Amino acid sequence: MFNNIRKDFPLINNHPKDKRLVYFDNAATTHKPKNVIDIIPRYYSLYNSSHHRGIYDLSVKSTNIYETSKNDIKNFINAKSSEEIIFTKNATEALNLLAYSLSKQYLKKDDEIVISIMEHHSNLVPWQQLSKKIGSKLKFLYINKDHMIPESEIKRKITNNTKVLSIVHISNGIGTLNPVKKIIEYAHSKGAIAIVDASQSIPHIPIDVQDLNADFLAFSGHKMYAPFGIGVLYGKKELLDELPPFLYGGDMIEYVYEHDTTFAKTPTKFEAGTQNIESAIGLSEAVNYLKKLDMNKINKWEMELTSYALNKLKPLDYITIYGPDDLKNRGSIISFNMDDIHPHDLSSIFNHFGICVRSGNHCTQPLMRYLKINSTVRASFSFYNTKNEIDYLIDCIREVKRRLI
Amino acid sequence: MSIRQKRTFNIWDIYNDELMSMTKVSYNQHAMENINPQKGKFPNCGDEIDLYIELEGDIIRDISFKGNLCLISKASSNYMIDLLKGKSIDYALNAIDAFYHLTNEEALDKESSQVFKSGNIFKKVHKLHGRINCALLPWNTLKFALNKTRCY
Repeated sequence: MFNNIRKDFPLINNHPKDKRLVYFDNAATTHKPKNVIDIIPRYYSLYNSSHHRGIYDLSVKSTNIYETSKNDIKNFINAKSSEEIIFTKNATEALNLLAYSLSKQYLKKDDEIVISIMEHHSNLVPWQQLSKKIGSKLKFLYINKDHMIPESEIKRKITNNTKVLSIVHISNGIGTLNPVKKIIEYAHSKGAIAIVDASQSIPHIPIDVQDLNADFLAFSGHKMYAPFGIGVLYGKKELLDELPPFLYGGDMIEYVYEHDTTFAKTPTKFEAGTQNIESAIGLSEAVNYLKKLDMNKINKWEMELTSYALNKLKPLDYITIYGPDDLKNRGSIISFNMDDIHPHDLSSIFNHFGICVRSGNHCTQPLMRYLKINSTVRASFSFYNTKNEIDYLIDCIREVKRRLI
Repeated sequence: MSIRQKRTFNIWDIYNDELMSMTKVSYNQHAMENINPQKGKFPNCGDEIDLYIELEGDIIRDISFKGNLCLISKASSNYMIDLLKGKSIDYALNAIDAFYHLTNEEALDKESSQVFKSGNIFKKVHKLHGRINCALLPWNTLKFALNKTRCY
């Protein structure tokens, strides 16, 4: 389906032909297409200047570029306006911003915050530390033997005392696709604010924040073919207006007096200091690239790859696969273990054959502990991967089995 | 499809029968009653070792281990224990330093070469990115425990 797509990615395309590069660590970060890479020197060569400040042409151009990028992101996730898009450094910063600002204005002692056991540390530690500080109660949605959150668990844990629900869309640890729309609806019925960590879903499935009805949604650029150092916090305008700022400093203010300050309007209120304009443009290049490919087609091909890989892995009785059995409850991430071979040994051997996978706890230590394992091997796919690469992975697994078990 | 090696060394020279048989030595892999284990951790990967050390005066009477370990850590633990059981603390501390040299491809003195003559496999671990730490985990843990017994 994406036959010639690898040509768009210089790192893949330029890799020496006699050495294989099978990149299956897309959940950690994706490679960047040429249009994203090229925009960065182009920005510095043609438009470099501080945005939102000067009244000279260059600065105005820089401001326009920055605001246009924001508008592209708004369109990509179907937000109502670009005022609902806040640029951050990554999803981690977006979630920290929320935890901090909500704790100042909205959350009180004994309020309940509900997250799931499969959260990445970035959607766990901020809520945990905040709860320790203000005395709110952190509750976890646990998973069943199919590695999904049962509806009964959602109904038991989200109560009238729940003020915040924050949940991962696709688990980076085991690939579970959570029914976030339903969970958000239930959280809203109990009067809670609903937050989605979309870091692992936004590069792979079409996201419509209005359809999901998420109050806030966070993601990182570098996992969706954009440069490092840029992330997004989407928030409903009326909620962002209510929240106090996270970082203080330049640009986010209105009037500063010796002993008081008034703050700029949403979203500038949340963007203190000079922003990462090059990466903001990079992100807009990335989403426009994805749009051109069509998110529905991307999703279809990536799930075909996932299904292909699962069908090849399942018959191997020495392989344990984590995450739901049914493809419709999964993203394009496969976490697995091999009997008697530790994930680190397996990934060292894979590396020798040019296969890049992640091994470890995937920043989900509580999830690993809950599953009574301490690590897994994770292969995560992008549209630039091929079935041939999956065959190669399976050949390597068989070779390890033949030699070592 | 045949799988191709992309490195100049052969991965199966490290992951070979010698390493696998070192991982399978079972008599060292158990807890010891009445002994508080020394914990060794490598949070990056989540691996942890519990090292049980029984001292009699200046002599390491017995060592055993438990833990969720990779093949390299497990082989290294068994290798270390078989080498150091029954030896003095001084001997063990010298051997630990020599093992650091060995894994870093540094030359060993004649005496240490003799001690580590069966440890060839650990000379190659540095060729695997980040995996020296796996080989060193039991040795670092033992060193930490033995140093605690010393009064300076």
